[in-house]
Amino acid sequence: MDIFGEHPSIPIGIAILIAIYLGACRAAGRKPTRRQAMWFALAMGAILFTQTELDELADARLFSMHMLQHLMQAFVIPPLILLGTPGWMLAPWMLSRPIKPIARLLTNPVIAFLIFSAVFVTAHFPPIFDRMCRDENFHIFLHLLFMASGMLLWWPILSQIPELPRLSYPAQILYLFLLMIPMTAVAAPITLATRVIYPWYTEGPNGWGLKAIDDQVLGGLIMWIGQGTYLMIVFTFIFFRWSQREDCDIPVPPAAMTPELRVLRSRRVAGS
Amino acid sequence: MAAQPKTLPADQPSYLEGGGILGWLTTIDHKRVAVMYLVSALFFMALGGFEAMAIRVQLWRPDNHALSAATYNAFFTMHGTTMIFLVVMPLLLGFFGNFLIPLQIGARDVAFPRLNAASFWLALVAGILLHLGWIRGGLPDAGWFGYANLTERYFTPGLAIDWWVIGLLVSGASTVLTGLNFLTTIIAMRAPGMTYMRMPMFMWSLMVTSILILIAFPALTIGLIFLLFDRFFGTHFYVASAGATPILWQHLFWLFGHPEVYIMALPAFGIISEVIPTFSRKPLFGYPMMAYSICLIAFLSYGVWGHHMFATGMGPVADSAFAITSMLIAIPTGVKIFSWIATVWGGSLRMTTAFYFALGMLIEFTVGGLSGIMHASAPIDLQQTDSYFVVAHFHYVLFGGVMFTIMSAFYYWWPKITGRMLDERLGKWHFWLTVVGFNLTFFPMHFLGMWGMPRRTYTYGADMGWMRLNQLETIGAFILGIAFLFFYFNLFKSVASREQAPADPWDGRSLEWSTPSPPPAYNFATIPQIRGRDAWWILKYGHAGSRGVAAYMSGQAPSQPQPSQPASVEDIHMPAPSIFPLVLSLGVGMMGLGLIIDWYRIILIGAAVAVLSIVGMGFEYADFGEESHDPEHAPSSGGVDVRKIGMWSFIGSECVFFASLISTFIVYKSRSVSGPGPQILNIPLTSFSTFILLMSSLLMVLALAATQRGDKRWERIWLGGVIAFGLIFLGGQVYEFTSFYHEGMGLTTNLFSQSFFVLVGFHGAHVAIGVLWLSVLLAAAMTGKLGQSRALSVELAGLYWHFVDVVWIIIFTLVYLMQAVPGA
Repeated sequence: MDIFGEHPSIPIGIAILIAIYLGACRAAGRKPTRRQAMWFALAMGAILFTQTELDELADARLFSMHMLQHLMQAFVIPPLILLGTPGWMLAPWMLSRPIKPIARLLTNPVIAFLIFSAVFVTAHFPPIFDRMCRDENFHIFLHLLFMASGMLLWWPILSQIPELPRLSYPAQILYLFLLMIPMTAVAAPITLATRVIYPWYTEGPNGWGLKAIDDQVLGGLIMWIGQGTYLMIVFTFIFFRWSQREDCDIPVPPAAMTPELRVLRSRRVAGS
Repeated sequence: MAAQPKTLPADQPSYLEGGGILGWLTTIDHKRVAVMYLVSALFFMALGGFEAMAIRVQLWRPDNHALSAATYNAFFTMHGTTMIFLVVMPLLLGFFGNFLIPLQIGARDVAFPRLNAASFWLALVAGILLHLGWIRGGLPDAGWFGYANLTERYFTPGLAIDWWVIGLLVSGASTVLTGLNFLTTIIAMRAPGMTYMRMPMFMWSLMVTSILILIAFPALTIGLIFLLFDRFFGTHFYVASAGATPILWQHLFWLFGHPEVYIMALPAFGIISEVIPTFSRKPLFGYPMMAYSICLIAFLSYGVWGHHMFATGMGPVADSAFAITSMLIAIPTGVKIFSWIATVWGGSLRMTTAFYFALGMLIEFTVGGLSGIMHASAPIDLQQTDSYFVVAHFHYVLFGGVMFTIMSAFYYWWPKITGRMLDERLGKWHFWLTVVGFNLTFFPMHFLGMWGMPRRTYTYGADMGWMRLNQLETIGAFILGIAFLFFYFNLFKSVASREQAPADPWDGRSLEWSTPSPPPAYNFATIPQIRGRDAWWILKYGHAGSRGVAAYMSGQAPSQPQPSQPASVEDIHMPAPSIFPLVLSLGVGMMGLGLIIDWYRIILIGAAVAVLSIVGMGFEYADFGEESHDPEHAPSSGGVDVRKIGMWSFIGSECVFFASLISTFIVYKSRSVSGPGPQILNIPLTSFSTFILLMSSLLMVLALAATQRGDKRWERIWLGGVIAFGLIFLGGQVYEFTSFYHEGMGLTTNLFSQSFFVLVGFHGAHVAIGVLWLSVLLAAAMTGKLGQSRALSVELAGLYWHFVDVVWIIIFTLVYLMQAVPGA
């Protein structure tokens, strides 16, 4: 894998991100936890993989790999970055005076959801998608846009800043459930189409020698089943965390118990 | 078991007493509404059962002519439609759901009691409309799935399908309103301490079912609306010669139809999860897993509709995808079965009739589940589809799974609902006759199906060798009929008896058993504090775990809390009865009737009645001061008003409505055979009206802000502005439509025109409703009835208005702008 080959901007960009991360650590005088550092490293690895190896496959007219790339950019990289970036690193500038109202608006679940859906659905419209395949700069721009809107999308689930809070667990589940609607709206027509939708893929040989239409169906399925399965796994994590959090039976205090004790008990309930 | 009061104290009238006939017609008490659902469902169940018996009589011997082919078609269509829409759903949701939601979550009523009553009356109107074919035009006869293009006027002239379309539209509206109401109630009205993870499993299942209803029914509504346009206004949504595809109906119908299976099955799962722990005297095994699998089933149920369509030739890829997702559903379902078995395991069982039926359900439903996994495999399904094997499968699911559960629920909750026990001895007869009759009727169908006997065919040849098993099935059907006679007789005997049922006859676990039987109108004198799952059990025995069993085994009397005492009954404020729900439904019924018998004056009168009664309900709501709930009453909602939750749920449902319309437009816009296409659209004009609509959203924000700060003058000005801008937008649309008409593009010109007019027209109708709503608000503002304390009313209208605007932006982008992009 020649990481400096075609796109030197990728390793340079990753290096800048790492530099900012370390710089922010130094500026705040704090260290991320081990787990956060691990998530961040994973995120950088994912970016590197998506934008080099996977990108080469996508450029070899492999529509299916291109879809996998988009899915990584929207569903894998942003959550990893959010998990890997401690709240104290983002808080100073996200809560600073001019940015806070904007951040609050953009991370509002309804707005974030709409922005992401709009970006994702629009980008897969044939004229726009086809232009993306032909225009490298536009392509890079769209990929960055996927990641940026993906950050917004995952914010209500993984926010690290209490001032820009997460949704409650049941709302998170509903949010993910609703997310399947725009994702299916993109994936289903691609999978069920009977002809090649994006002309660019018919204009050259397929990287793996697949027929363009088969490759398109495969890509649609990666998007459809892939996102569904992925969201289902995330939903499972959220559900059981929720059930653990709420899952406690409190025995009724016997009638003889003194009133003070009762108060204490119910406080504990309220706090748990 | 603890001693319970045998009779009701005289000062505590039950919900059944008082009011007379008018009291029932105007009631908005969830328990009375439930009882009305029960009465109508019992009637329709007898009717649907009669149709089933007639079908079985016809199939008694080869080349039989007890029924004509046409009558046979009508009977199997109406049997399916009746049992699904007028029996199973009303019983599960309307009857048990309505009665038990407030009682199990510790509330005094559902979130929107008037809407609840309207749901019932609409359901009744739908049932009547579906059966008016008896009087005029014949019964619907295209199957409960009504496949296009058989339902087109060309193939099925006459009124039969018209009744069916209108009846199902009304029924769908009623169900969506119920789902909206239930979801809001469960989210917002749980008693203090009742977290989601402490809800009875029946409440979990109803919460998820309500979400399914809200998302699934709009697809059916759209499918039916297209059919209605085809039949009444001459469009060609399902006519292949016009370039359309009849498969569109199947996609829309099954996008609704498969979740519909879970809309019926999930509440049944919930009920079983209540009955089994009670009679095993053990907490439900694996509560979080049970709740999780309910959610997972709902999650998956939207990805499986294609398994009803393997035979339509979707291609190997789509077939495989749908096969995989369909098989996946077996996993959460299996989890549930094993959790129920684990709950029974090691419990101290009491073999009541309710428990018999619950155990029966476990076995029969598993049989249906196993044949279901077979259908999930596309190649096997291609052999089985449209054969009696499928009939066997879904009867094992719907009768073995759901009907057994409903029977179990009857024996379990009947004492709570009526204050009378059902006879256990008759009940055991009922159970065994049902088991024998059911299996005798439906098990041989597996073999007949594999031998090739087709569904929906009114007779068979003597040389097929199918007679012996068919006769066995008919005998089984009659045994089943006798079982139902036992059931009806048991209900009748119990209602006629004078013996009072105890408040907690089964030593129950959930809150409804803490109320007297039957409960008073206000359910709980004091709202209970919830300290865990099995709330009432904890109150009785201190802990949900094994202590109850130990105390029971040692015969030691538990510390008995009194059923909630009527401490300050006079202070309990219940909403006043209302005649508007009934009037509204009559108006809707008149609209449907007028459309079918082609008498436009009746449609207009009906519409006026409906609109006026909705406005009337709105003012009633404001006047009875229900905005200020008991402070102790709404702690679980996080301070969000129920109306806001209801509005958001409604918007969620509307999203699917518009998504279905937009998808149809995208599929159809370039499939027209002739006539004008998207290039006819006038983008500059529409850009202007889009701008106007966007500005109206801005004015709406200002109006809300003015109301919130109590600025009466600007409140009126901004509201007026929104209305004016809305009217300008509508004017633009009228101009646009007329100019299209003059350019030769009418509604029925081609596929592009009809999908365009229906999509944009429905959006226009939404804007018009918004304008009407805002005008009512403006009138209220003019007479000084609005003001700061009612800011929420403005906020709700604003939510709706913004939603309609967002939908327009999507329509403007996809319909108007995209056609300007080459290649789109």
